Amino acid sequence: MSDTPSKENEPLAGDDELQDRRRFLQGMGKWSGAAIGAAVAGAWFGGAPEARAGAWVNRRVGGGAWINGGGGGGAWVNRRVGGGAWINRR
Amino acid sequence: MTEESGESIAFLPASFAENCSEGPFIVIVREREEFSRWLGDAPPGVEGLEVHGLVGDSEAWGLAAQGRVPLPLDVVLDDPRAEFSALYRLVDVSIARPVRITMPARPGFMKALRLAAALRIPVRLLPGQPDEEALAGLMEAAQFYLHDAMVEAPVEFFHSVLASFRGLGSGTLWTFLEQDPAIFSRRDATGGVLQAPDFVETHLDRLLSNGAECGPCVWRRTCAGYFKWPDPNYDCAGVKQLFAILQSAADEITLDLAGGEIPSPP
Repeated sequence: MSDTPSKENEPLAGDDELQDRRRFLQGMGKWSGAAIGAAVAGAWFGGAPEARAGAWVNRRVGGGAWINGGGGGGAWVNRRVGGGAWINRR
Repeated sequence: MTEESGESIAFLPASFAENCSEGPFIVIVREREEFSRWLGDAPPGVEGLEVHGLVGDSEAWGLAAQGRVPLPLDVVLDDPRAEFSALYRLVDVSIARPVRITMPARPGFMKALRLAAALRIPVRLLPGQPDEEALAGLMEAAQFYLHDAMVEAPVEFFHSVLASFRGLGSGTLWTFLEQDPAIFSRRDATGGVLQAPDFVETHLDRLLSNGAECGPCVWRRTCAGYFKWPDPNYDCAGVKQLFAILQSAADEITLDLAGGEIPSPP
């Protein structure tokens, strides 16, 4: 374990790169899907109900963002950027 | 920071929310009638409902599984051990609208956490100042979150801490758990703020000036004195192990990705 509990923000990876990381970790079979989402994208790679505008959006700092404020149905992937804010990647 | 990242949101009792026309805000509902009213007619600016004491009310969830406006719901369990079996009522609701479950890390919470995970519903786990039994539960919950194939939806605070330890954003437990009043402003029945916006900063400053163990703590950046509230003398030995588990997982994932030659943060 390192002594430094936090790193500077990771450069944003492209979708293909994120998916490669995700698939690789999934293939190892030792991490949950949620942990993989957090670790590779600060996100939830999950199925979602129909997207909704005006939802409990990802514009605040930290874990307040449990809902993606926009986008279409299907995968619901958020991305943290500097300052810890979550934004909709799509 | 994104341009929107500093925006705050108010958490308003339903009775006071009736007088509000400007958002963003979350409405706190405790009665089926309130729940029905806000589900059916939420004006712009209402970003969700925080629902207390209704998880056992099947009629309420029948209403929530319908509706034209898919207003998000944060369903709060006060006693996870007694209430966990009622989570099945949320299956249809979670198809119709975003649902999250919030619960304290009280005895029996693992049953609720496992069921929520099986239903793929996100969870916000409020650790408070965990005693020995609750700490053991949190350790188990952290391992469950990290490694169980059933867990696909986020479990806070593990999820955001793991992301931050991987360099994907930053924040503190106060923000991850939506308890920083600078951003999540809880109001009383008259609209008054329950905690000052600078509460976290003031709290941490006081701890440091009083020589609390936070000073040299390597987890201070993430914790920000969270576990020293309300009792500033709480012994953090156990919760430091929780942080260490998440840090080890972040480091191990970095090594896994490096071993697979998958591009990873420097």
